[in-house]
Amino acid sequence: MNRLDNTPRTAPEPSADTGPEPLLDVRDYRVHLHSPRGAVRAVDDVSFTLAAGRTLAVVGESGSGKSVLCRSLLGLLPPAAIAVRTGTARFADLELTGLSEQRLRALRGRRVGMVFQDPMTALNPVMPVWRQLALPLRRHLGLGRKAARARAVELLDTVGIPDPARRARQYPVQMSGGMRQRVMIALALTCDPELLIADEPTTALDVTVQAQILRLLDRQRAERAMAMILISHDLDLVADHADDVMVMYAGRQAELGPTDAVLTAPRMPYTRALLDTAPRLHSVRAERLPTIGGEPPDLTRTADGCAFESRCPRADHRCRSARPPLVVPPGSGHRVACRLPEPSAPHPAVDVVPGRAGGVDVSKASTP
Amino acid sequence: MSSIDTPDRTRPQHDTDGETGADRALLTVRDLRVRYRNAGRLFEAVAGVDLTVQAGETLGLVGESGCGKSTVARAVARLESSISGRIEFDGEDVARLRGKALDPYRRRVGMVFQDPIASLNPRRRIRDIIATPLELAGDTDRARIADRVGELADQVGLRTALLDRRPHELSGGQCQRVSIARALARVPDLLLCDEIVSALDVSVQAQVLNLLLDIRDRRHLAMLFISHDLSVVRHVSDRVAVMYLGRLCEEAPVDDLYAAPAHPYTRALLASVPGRGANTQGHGLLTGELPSPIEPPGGCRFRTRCPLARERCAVEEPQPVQVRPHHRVACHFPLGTQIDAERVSREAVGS
Repeated sequence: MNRLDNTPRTAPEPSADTGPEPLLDVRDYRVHLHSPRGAVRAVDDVSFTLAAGRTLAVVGESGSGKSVLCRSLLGLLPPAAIAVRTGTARFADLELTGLSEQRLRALRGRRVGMVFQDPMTALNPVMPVWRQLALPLRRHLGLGRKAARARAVELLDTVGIPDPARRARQYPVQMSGGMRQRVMIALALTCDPELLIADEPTTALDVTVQAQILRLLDRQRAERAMAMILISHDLDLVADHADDVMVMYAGRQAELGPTDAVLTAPRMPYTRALLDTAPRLHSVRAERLPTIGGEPPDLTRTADGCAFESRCPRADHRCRSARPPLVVPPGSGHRVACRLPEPSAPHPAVDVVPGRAGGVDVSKASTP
Repeated sequence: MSSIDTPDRTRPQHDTDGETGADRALLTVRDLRVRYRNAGRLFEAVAGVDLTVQAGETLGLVGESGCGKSTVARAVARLESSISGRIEFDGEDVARLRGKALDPYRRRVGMVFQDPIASLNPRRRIRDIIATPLELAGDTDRARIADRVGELADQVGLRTALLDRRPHELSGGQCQRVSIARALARVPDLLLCDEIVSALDVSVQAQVLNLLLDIRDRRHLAMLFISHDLSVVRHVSDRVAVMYLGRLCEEAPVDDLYAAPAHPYTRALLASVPGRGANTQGHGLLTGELPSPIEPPGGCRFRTRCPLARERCAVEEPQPVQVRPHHRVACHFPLGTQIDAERVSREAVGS
């Protein structure tokens, strides 16, 4: 069976984008996963770019596809779980969808670093911390044992671990959650990656530690001119730490654009509902929180129209019949997948520059 | 102060909100201490906490993991074995009761936990899970139990079709509704909620919070609402208490606490919450991590991370003082007070 449809595509045309060549260029990316009830459309036609030195936040609730997207890009999903994978994902000079497991392994930990939510399960419990840090240093950079150890201690220092020489000899269980997450970050940074993928890096941590970890990530990203994908469910956190944001719902993109534009003037009703539904520290205290009626759609079935249609207060027949393309609506500074976008914020309609040529191909949008 | 004390403790259906019993202390906790043993050494996870919850009031309890906030709830529910201090419920010290003598109290206190799926027995049907407390209360009339289960399911917005399913067939939000229904089965006066929305997506969190607040208001329930999420606590609470390393550092009406925190720890907690770019600047953020509760720092427990700590903080443990009406803080140099102003001016002169 052709489990991995990863025929290398021809390199995309250099886009008419003004900026430099993006570090990561994902187009029409789909991942369907096997499940007992049939294929789950976990990632459904997603396109985005990410330039070096920038942070893209991917936000959405559980099941929105944000983690599957990032994991599948790096080949971290078990091949047997994947029913369909199509589209292209260009990372610097490589087409990720066409890479062998061996080449993906060479990429992970070297050119792409990863930080996961739960450092306890991501770290090896029976290996002292320095040896875990030394592994990629020796494997990818060819350092000797001694040099790798010295470098490991240096890295622990970089990520703000006090008394790094002593800590290097410890095992993960001897550390607090925040400390372990710092070790995870050190591990992700060992080989000076071009891209850091942080999947809910602070969800398991206390707010005071969360703030420290995010500042650390911000600083490291800036110093190393790394690109970062920050996967999160917390819109306030995203507002503080991301340049761009991609909101996902049911495996699809709901909105994509500069963080300010998306979060201060969301146009897709789902994004707006998501912003309204969380109690905020600085908002007026309301008696009741606005809620989103209904439940997320069954991803084993294809929605012909918009995936949010059944829960959307604005939806009409047009939303049911055809999938909305991700385009820049009049008056917006970002792209929105909605046929009936919410009225734009009272900004003067700036001369709207269409997004990067390509994006989501409208003509294919409604194919079942 | 003496209000209707139902002698047999079996409360009638609580739909008469006539006497709201304003300022009637339903729960009064005094000098609560909970000891744990770690590697042969005893330590206090809760080291002398005083709390009061009025009838119908929601007290929020916040703090970082390991501060003892869940232990407080478990001690109040009498789920901890090694406790000392007083836990007065409706005038009676329930900390001394043992075994069967606790039954009338347990009937009046419900508890909902964080993990919606793990806190439900995976082998039982939802219907039976909700019925359990009724059966434990000695009800044997099957038809009456079935009616009551249907009623409770309706109250928490569970479709009847779900009652014959098992927990793994339900979503996290639905499981949390089941937990709430179970906690409400015996018509409690006090609900202990321990991180009940932490595992839920924001949209589901909103539904569960709305449900909880509806029921609270309709039944005039008092709540001890524990969460690490300061925004959620602000949304549900009338008053908020802040814990650090087994002790209370501050307690105040919700708006006063969030607008003008008097303890440096509270201020740091609030500054850490993302949003409005507050924490990108790094102002008021804490450095270091929570010390071990096994060997807490002497004097003020917060002094090792406190940006304002002075010598006095190392030698003398601060006792709670009232800085504004109903606003108590355990700090030698509470923010926004005369003492604080003197400190600031002294430092300005000194530099």
